[in-house]
Amino acid sequence: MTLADMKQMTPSHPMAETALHPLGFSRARFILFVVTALAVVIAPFVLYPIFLMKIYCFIIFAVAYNLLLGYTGLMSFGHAAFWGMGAYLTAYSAANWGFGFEAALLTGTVTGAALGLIFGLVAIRRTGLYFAMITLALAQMVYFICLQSPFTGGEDGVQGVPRGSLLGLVDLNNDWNLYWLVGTILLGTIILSNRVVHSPFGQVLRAIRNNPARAKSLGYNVDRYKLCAFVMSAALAGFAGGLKAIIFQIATLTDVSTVASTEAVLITLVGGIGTIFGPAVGSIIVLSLEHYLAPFGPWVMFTQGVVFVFFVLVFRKGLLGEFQSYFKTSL
Amino acid sequence: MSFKKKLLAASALTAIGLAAPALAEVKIGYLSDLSGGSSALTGKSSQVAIEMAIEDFGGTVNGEPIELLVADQLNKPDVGLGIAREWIDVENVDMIFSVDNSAVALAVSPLAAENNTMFITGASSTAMTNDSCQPYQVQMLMDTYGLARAITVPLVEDGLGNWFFITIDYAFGHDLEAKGVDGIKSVGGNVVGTVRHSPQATDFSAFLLEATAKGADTIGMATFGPAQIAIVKQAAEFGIDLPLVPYFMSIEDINSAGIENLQGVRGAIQFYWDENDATRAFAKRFEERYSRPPTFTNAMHYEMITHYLKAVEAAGTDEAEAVNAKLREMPIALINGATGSIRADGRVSRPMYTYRTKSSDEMTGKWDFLELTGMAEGDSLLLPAEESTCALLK
Repeated sequence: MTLADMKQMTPSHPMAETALHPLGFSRARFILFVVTALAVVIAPFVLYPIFLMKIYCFIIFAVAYNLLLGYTGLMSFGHAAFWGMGAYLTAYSAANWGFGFEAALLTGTVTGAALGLIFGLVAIRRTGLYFAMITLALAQMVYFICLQSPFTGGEDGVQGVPRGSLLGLVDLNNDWNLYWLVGTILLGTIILSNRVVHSPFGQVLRAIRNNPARAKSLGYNVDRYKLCAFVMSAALAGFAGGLKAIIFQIATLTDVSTVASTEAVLITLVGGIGTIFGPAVGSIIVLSLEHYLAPFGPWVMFTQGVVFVFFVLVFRKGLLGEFQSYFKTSL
Repeated sequence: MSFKKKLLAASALTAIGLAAPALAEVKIGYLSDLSGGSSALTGKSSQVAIEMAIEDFGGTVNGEPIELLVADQLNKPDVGLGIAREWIDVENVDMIFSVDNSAVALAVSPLAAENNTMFITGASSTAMTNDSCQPYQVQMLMDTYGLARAITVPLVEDGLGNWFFITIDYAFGHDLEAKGVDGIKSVGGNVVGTVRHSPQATDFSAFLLEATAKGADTIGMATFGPAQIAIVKQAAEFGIDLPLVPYFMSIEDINSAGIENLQGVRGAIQFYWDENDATRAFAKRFEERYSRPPTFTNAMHYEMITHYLKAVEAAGTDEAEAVNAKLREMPIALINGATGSIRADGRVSRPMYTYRTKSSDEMTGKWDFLELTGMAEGDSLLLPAEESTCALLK
């Protein structure tokens, strides 16, 4: 395989082209971004804002996951640990140490990153199934620690988390203020993820995904790049978990359980692995199913199963993945 | 956001504000465990009891229809809190009802308080009437302190001196165990050991053997539902004949565990269907809608919904402050003819009835499990006001 072949394999455009468009997006992505931004503005007038914020948190979580699975080619089954511990530490620091909104969220993010570093150092030594199993095992250990340590409150969780205010100016107890903030954070995250993926760093990650041996032969320290991507993904997942804890004013065992990891995988698969907007599409579909099927109890799990099988069989590349290959574009 | 978009957003906001009608109906949100451990004891069957209460009331109050919303809390605080928040924000519920899981109830409590929404809970953690007490909150189910007073203390006084607790591992279980231990120690009994089990646990054999190894003469089951049934059955399989002490034992549980495995059990209960003519008449009507007589929780849901609707009627409005005042002022009419009342901290005071289980040849019907032996006055089961941390009692 020549270098030119490799370039063809990577689905997105090189830097030089994307730089021409606003915010670093390609043309197609910019259109999609505007659509997303419009949706963020209009949606709360039609739908329940708290539910929308939940979707946005999961989008950020899935963006973090996609950075690893879609752009570095690492399949983690342990992202619940980062999301859940991010939620716990954000909640705990806000509820018990009197941290403000920003400091609490930072605590959650740093927790995610630190945990990611530990997980990463152990897990990236292996690839494929072994990598997935190690991350799963580590996440189960984190779950057990959360179940047993007093600071998480066991089955009760960390409750009564104060939302605080943004920079001491904007009261976040008002759902609308919080909504606009979370919406802005979401759009910022999408811009950021696009930037990271199309930076020289992102190019190297994709080279590693496509052919680690070749990337190594070109002189890149593959393990260090993988670790770096892992920590970034973990930090962003911790941030998303923390944001969710602030919105719902609670952090519980659900957040660290395997259910959360599965959710990340499902969302990314449904939306489209290795697409910038896939996580957004995936979250909307998966969480809407959960939300609107909730009255039917156990049928939620059943429907999720059917959706999963359907997407794996019919839309192997996810909704946006199939869409982009049909229209020969990158989303 | 451009000016145009802002304008659009602002007009959309106004449109929604105008579109929202002045909701007049009385909305009750029944949040319960419809699929987990307490779904058999309460859950669906208590929903039947609530519907029965609304129907008996005539379906309307002050000329307004009564609407019932139902949701499954999945016994997860985050799920329950999310549903309660949506009910308050979107549905404008007047009262959140039941939430019969302490972890979920503790999460819902501050939310209801913040929004001045009535919250009548079926959780039994004493936290609900201590640190988490709220002006518009009522705790209808006997709390762990009352259970310890009504069940544990008399048994210790009767000579059961060495207790071993098998405790469900979350707030409710910890609380029930702690209050039981306090009660035992206050009358000179001894606790030889405690173990915690996860809510998903199904195998209790190791715990039971530990209890016998430690020389216990009584096993306190600070748990409920499937776990309790499993403990009873496994104790029988292992031939452990120590007295088992249940705290939440409904006829449904006895039926599942088998009365032959529960011989000689003594306890106390809020309501038993076969107590007198009034309870039997209620049980008969209930059985026509649901395949068995009502459990104590079913009866309690009926009684409290009726009491709430009477308070709404007396107040002439569904506005929380007025309803709350009436709710606490009027006596609660219980099905068996007794009355209950609500203390300032939200604690419902109602009598409990001590029982012993019948042997199979004493039974006259499928659900004839208990013989009532006495009564404990409601006020004797209340945590003394001076021991409470609730500011509303000061």
